[in-house]
Amino acid sequence: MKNKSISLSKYGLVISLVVVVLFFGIITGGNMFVPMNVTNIFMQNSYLIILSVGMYFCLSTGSVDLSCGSVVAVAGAILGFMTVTNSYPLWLTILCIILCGGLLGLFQGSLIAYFGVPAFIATLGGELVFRGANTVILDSQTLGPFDPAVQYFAAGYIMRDFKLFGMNGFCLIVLAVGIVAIIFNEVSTRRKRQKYGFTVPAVYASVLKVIAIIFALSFVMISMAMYNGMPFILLVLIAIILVYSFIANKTAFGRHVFAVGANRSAARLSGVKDKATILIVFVNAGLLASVAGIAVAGRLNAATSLAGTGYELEAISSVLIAGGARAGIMGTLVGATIMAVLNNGMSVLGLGADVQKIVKGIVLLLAVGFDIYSKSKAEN
Amino acid sequence: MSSDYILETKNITKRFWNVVALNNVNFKVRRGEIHVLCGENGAGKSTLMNIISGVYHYGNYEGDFYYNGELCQFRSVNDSVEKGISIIHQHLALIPLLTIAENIFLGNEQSKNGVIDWQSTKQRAKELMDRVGLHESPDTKIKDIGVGKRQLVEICKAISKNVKLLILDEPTAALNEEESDKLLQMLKTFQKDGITSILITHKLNEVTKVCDTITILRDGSTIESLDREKDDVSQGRIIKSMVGRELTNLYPPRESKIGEVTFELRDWNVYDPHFSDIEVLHKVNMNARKGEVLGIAGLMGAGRTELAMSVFGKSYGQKITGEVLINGQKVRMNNTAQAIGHGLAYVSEDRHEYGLISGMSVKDNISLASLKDFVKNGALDSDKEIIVAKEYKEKMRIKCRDVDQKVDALSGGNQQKVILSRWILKNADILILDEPTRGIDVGSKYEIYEIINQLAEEGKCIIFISSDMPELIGMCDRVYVLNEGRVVKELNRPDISQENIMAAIMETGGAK
Repeated sequence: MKNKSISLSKYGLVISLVVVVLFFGIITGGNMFVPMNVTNIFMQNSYLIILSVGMYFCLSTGSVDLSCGSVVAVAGAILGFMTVTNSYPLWLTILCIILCGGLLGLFQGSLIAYFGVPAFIATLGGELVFRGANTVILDSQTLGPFDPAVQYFAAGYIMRDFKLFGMNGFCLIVLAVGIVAIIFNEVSTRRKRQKYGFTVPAVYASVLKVIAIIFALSFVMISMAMYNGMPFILLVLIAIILVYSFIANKTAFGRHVFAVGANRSAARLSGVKDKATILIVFVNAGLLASVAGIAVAGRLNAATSLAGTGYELEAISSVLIAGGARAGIMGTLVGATIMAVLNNGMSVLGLGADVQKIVKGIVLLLAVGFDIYSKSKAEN
Repeated sequence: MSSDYILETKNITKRFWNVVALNNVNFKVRRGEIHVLCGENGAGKSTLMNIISGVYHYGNYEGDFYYNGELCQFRSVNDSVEKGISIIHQHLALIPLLTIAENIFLGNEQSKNGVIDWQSTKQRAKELMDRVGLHESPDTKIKDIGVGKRQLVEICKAISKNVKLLILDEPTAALNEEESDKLLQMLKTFQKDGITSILITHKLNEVTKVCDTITILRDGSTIESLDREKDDVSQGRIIKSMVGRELTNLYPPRESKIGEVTFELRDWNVYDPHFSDIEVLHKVNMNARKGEVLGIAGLMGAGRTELAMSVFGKSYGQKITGEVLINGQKVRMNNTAQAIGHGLAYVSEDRHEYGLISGMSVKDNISLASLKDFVKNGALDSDKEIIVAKEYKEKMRIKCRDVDQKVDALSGGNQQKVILSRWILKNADILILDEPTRGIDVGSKYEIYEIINQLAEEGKCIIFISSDMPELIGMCDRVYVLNEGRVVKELNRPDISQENIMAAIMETGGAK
C-alpha cells in the first residue's frame, strides 16, 4: 500500500549510501571503519552538512548559492585578522563574522528576489567579491592559531574523560536517547497516519527501517565512544538539523519555500510573499556559511586563502543526490553523508587533490543528471 | 470561380487527451480564393490550421488532407513551407532586437557557403517590403515599429518563401481600421498573383467585403460554407450559424438574492507590461454586487484576464490608473497579499501555471492561502490541516485517494475544485473566476456551477470570466462585454444572449 515511487527514491538514496560505505570500507581494507576515522568523517565534513542545509533552502526556491564557499573563507580570514593580527575580543569577532555572512546574503538575496537577477549570476558575483576580500583581509598570509574556544567548537570533544564501560559515557547516553527517540518517532508517526486513515507502510517495513537506523546510529556512536567521545561540532550539527527540519516541515515559512520553488507565480497569487521568502533564504545561507567557516578555520586552526574552495559544488551535489527539494532536510543529510564518505574514503586511500576533484566533478554531473531524470520521470 | 481545390480535408479529427477539438472536419478551399474561417473561441479554427501548416505532425491527428491533390504527411512546419504553405500566427514570431531584413530571412538566410550576403538580404527585403506597402528601412529593429507594421513583416516572411497558400490567424486583431483595410486589400492583390488565402477572423464587418467563401466551425465541426456569389453572407446570417446551439439543462437553478454593490472599478487603465505605449485596458468602469454572478464576456485578447489580474494586486501590467472601491471604500491593492486582505480571490484560467502547486498534496494546496490560521505555537497544526482538508474533500466532492495525495494526479475538474477550496477556506468575499470550467468534463462542470451558485447564495460576489457563451447565459445575473480593452456593453439578465454578446463585439470591432 506504499506509494511506490516515493519509497523507491527514498530507499534508493539510502542504498546508495550503503553501497558507498561498503565500497570504501572494502577498498580501504576496513580502515574506513576504525573509530578514529569514523570520528574524523564527521569532523572533517561538518562544514558540508551545514552548507548543505543552507543550500537545500536555496535550491528549494529554485535558486542556488555559489558564494557559500567564499563566505567560509572570509569567516576564517576575519577570525584571523581580528583575533590573531589584532586583539579584538572573540565575541566581537564572531559577531562580525555572522554579520558579514548575513549581509552578503542580504545583498545577493535582494538582487535575486527584488531585481530579478538570476541567482547563478548574483552569487557568482558575490563569490568573486568575497574571494578577493578573503585574500585582502589575510594579506595573502596564513593566520593562526585561534582562541581555545574556537578550537573546541570545531575540534573539541564533549566530556572526553567521562567513561562508562570503558567507553565515552556521553556518547552512550546520547545513543540511548537516540534509540528511544527513533522508536518513539516511528510509532507516533504511524499512529497519527492511521488515525486519519492514511496509508502506512507494512509493519515489517517500519521495523526494518527502525532497526537499520538504530544500527547505523549505534555503529557511529560506539565508534566515537571508543575514540575520544562525541565531537562538540556534532552536537551543533544535530541542533542545526533538528531546527531546520522543523522549519522546513512544520512552519508556514517552510511551506512557502516549497511553494515558491515549485511554482512562484501560483504561490504569489495565493498571497505568499515570494520575494521576501527568497530574500530570507539567502540571508540564512550566508549565516550558515559563516558558521561553517568558523568550524573550518577552527579545525585547521588556521585561516588560509584557499579555504572553502569548491565547497558550494559539494553542497549542491549533496542536495541533488538526495533529490532536491523533495528530499527534505533528512534526505539532504544522507546526501551530505554520501559526499562526506566519498571525501573521507578518497583521503584514506591517499588520492591526490586533483584526482579527488575529478571524482567530485563526475559525482556532481551524475547527481544533476539523476535529479533531472527522476524529475522528468515523475512528471510522466 | 472554378472547382479546382487547392486544399481539401477529409474527416480530420484531433483530440487532446480526452477532449475532441476537431470532429470529422471536411473543409475545401478553392484555388485563388480568399476563404474566411469563423467560429467562436474553442471552435477549432487554429487547431485545424495548425494541422495544415504542419505544427501538428502527421500521426497526431486522424483523417487526411490534400494539397494540390497530393496527400500531405507533414512531419514539421518546414515540410509545409516547402510546399508553399505559410501560416502567420496570431502571436507574431518576430525577434524584437533584430532588424526587419534579419527577421524576414530568419531560418531562410540568403547565404553562400554559410556566409550571409547582407547586400542581397537587404535588397530582397526591400523588394518584399515594397510589395506589401511597408515603408521602413530594412535596418529598422522590430521593437521600434508598431504592431501593424510587424504584421506586414510577417507577411513579407511568408511571401519570401514563395507562398501559394497563405494562412492568417486573426491578422487584424491588433490593427486599427486603416491598417486592417490595407491588409485586406493586399490579400486581394495577392489573389491576382495567384496566392490563395485562408483568413481566420472575428471581424466579420471587415471581411465580408473581401471574402469569396466563408466556412463556419462550431465545437470542432464544419457547420456550413457560404459562397459569396450564391448565399447570404450578411453578418446576421453568419452569427446565427456560429452560435446556433440548443440550451439544455446544463446549469443548476439559483434564486438570485442580489444585495448592494460591493466591488466597483472606476476609470481603470492598464498598459502592457512589456510595451509601455500599448494600452491594454481603457477607462474600464464596472461594478459588482453581493450575491451576484457577474459575467465578463469577450473574445480572447479582449483584456479580461488582464483586467482580473491587474485588479488582483497589480499582478499584470504597468502604468495602472483608476480606482477600486470595496464596499464603498477606496482601496489600495499593490500586491496580491493586499488584495487577499481586502477579500478578493482570483482563480486563474491557467490552473497549472498560476493555480496549483505541483508536487504538493491536496491538503497543502488547499491551506496555502490560509496558513496563518493553522499556526499554533509557531508550528503548523498538521492535524487541523488534515481535518479541514477532509472537510473540503467531502463538501466539494473532490475525487482523490486522500488529502495527502499529490495534486498532479487529480483530473482537471478536481484540480479546479482544490483551487476553489483554497479560496473558500480563505473566506474570500469577491471571487474572480477566470474560465473556471475550461478543459473540464461536463459532469465536473455542473458540480462547479453548483459551487458557484452556493457561494452566490451565501452572499459572495462572483465575477465570472468566460468565453463559453451558453455558460454565461446559464449562470449570470448580469454580463459586461469587453472588447479590445473597453467595456462595450452591459447586459441585464433578460438581455443576456449569444446574439447580443456577439453583436456587441462585432459592432465595435476595428474601432481603436
